[in-house]
Amino acid sequence: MENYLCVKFPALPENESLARIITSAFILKLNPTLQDSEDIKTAVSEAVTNSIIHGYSSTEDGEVELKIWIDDRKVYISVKDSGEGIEDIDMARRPFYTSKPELDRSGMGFTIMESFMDEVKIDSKPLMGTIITMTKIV
Amino acid sequence: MDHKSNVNMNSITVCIKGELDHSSAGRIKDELNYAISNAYANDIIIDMSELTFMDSSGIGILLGLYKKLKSRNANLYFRSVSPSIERILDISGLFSVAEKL
Repeated sequence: MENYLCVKFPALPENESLARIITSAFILKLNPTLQDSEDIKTAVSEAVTNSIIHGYSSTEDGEVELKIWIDDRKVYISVKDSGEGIEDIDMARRPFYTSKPELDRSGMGFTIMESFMDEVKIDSKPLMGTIITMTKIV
Repeated sequence: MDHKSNVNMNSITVCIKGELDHSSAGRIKDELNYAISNAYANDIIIDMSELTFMDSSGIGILLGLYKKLKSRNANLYFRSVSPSIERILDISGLFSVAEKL
């Protein structure tokens, strides 16, 4: 393990850009291509947004934890919340599926994560929160 | 203001500036709706030259815009799309219903 960071922040929409900035800055030392940097930043944005909208949909309190590890050329990212959890992960991963159609959600969050990262793992149970772990070699 | 609009003949050009994510989506949606509400142009052009970031929240907003325009037989176009945002639009299938200029 070369380096890592762990940051927690309130599940507020304005912290989505904070998560992106933190991620972009931390992986900069790997000198990623612009596309790799944008891909990772966007995937983090999707995961954090999911925590805010879905994980903590019924409460204004909530915390998101972002962890990033870099090891040689591999970036590991986890986004964790202690929110509502996902009842049906396979359903949630389907393109265009959203449990919040009233919010103009596209249901493409997981599809984008899976398109932009090399691997995406979802650990979640109802009422037990969610951890999304993603990796990418840059 | 996050947008500026330009009305010309049968088209409206709306420029979205900054970042389009969940945090800004509501506000940008309202501004887009306002921009297109007072004119009945056949072509609505979304200028993305000053759009620095977009995630799936933006897809939701643009899909909603497309449906609204379709109901009044107007066409949606995207202009000056950066490579990273183009990939998002491509994944979403929006290029099958809106042309890139």
